Amino acid sequence: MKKSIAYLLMLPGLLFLVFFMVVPLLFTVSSTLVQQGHFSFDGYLAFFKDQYFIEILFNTLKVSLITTLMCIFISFPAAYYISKLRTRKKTILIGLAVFPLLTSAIVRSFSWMIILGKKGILNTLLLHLHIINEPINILYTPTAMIIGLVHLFLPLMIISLIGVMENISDDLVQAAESLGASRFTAFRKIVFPLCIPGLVVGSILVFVGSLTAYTTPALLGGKQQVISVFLYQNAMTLNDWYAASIIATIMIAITFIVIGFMNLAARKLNPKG
Amino acid sequence: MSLLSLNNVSVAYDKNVILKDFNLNVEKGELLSLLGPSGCGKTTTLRLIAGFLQASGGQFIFDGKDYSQVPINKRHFGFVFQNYALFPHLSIFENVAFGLRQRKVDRKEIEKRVKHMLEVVSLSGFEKRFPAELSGGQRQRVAIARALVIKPDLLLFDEPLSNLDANLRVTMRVEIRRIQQELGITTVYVSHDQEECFSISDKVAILNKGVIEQLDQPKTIYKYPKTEFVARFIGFNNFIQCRQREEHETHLTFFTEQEKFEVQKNAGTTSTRALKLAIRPDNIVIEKCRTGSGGTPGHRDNTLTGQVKISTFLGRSYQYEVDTSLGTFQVNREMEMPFSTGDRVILIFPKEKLVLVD
Ligand SMILES: Nc1ncnc2c1ncn2[C@@H]1O[C@H](COP(=O)(O)OP(=O)(O)OP(=O)(O)O)[C@@H](O)[C@H]1O
Ligand SMILES: [Mg+2]
Repeated sequence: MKKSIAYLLMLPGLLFLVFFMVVPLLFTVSSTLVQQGHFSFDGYLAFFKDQYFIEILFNTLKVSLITTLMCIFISFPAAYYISKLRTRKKTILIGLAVFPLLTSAIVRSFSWMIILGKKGILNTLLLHLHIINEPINILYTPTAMIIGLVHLFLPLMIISLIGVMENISDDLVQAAESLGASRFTAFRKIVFPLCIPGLVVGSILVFVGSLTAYTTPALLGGKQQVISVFLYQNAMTLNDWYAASIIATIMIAITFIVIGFMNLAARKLNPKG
Repeated sequence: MSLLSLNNVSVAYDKNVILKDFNLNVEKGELLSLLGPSGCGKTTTLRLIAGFLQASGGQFIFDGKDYSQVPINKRHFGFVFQNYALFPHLSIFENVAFGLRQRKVDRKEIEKRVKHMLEVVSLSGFEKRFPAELSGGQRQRVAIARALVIKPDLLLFDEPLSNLDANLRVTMRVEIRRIQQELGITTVYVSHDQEECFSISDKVAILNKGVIEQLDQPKTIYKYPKTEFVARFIGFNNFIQCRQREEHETHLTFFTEQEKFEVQKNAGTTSTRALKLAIRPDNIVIEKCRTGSGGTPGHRDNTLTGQVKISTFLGRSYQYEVDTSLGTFQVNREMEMPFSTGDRVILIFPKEKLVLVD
């Protein structure tokens, strides 16, 4: 009786997901495997033989990886600091960390254009300070794209990390130290492994987010192509839905591979995570 | 010379001073308890000794050396936390082995010592489990094993039994005492459970608001509390403030406005000029007033007449609150022939049961 009620409660959500996500997904994937009525893998082979596509794919992965690593490095100390604070200050700082999530990616990208542009705030400042003699080109480069993406996804990483760090009590560090471990060893052997679940969740969110982000790379990356922009061009500009579906399927596959790989790494680093 | 001495140390959180000019000496091999109400600074004292906190003044001598600047990981003290603080991502074996690994003890030796220590705390066979898979009592024993296996120079316990049920608490405290004596490790033990402290300690220090009110053997404290705070803390709920005292050969005589109390001389009366008497509710004798109401009975020393105000059934005994000319007294009495509210009674204060407190 109780169980059937539980299933009943799950039904609306389940139906929604099946009809608006699983079914379209199956259509998309199956459409890429059929050509002129026959099962065929040729579409994929063609893509992986295409030098241009491979370049875009690697570019995207590189940008996502760098973004993820940058987010980890920036978030870790910040999250650690925030997690050690007491209620009031903590609430304020978490609010500030999350605030960017409340503004649209487009607005944020335009802000970066104003800052990073040839006559932007950054160049003007550096020129005035005589640190550079000519404006530097940041906007419409991979650097600009990574800056934009890091800004976009930093809150997700910070929140994920604070979540785990809050549960690591000071006593654990002190216990380790009283057993002879230096501060650094205590961090390496106790704090860090306990952060891994949050690190994995954060990394997956940031990596997959960067992989699929469209607005930021499109606005800040200039000629630099990433896979989501490429997908959009194929679908909307070239009207080649077959190619677009293949790209989409490849992106989904990559996402799953990344998640699987991260979980594997997590289990290795923290068996009890 | 004491193994550990805190001399005039002070500790403050921000501006909130917790310990001021605090002194404590612990002798080699003894188990000393810090006992006191919540918030009196027990944990603070323990954390100070462990090095988790820095004193803002004074001296910390351990084994003849100044330890105030020695970092935590060089002190070689074992600490058992109130919440155990086991490493959740490490197996029981690895938890216990942690301290040995930091000391670069070789593999075989680690294996041997961890196995042996788990035997000592009766946890053989639990090596592969994780802390989340243990009961509270088992976790607590892992915490003790982890602190003991490094053969610390000093063992610090912060209310290690407070999360356990009553039976386990008794078993574990006997166990702790046994291990401590077997290994001869000097120990500072914090608790707010009197029975626990009194039963396992060589000495007990009673703390009140960051000040040690009395440091003595458990028996001495139990029999002869020195201050009103200590007396109250260990169950002397009745006090008589006197105005004057006279010294005689075998006893002392104390005077209030109208009453007179004799106190037998004992170990607790020798060195104090105190004017306050204390007595446990169990030690006051309560009798029915023989003469009718009104008339004063043939007034004897060490007695007060009064009226029962509240009578509470405690199971094995009754507790009475009796109003007298010197205030309200709490008296316990076995079941037979209970008094009821309003009864006139005589309270008798045996002279060998009265103690002097500051
Ligand atoms: N981190 C802290 N910051 C500020 N004040 C603190 C801190 N830790 C403890 N205190 C204060 O210091 C005083 C002593 O605390 P302590 O933890 O030593 O008490 P305790 O005797 O161990 O009490 P309990 O029996 O409840 O554990 C308390 O008044 C407490 O509020
Ligand atoms: Mg405490």
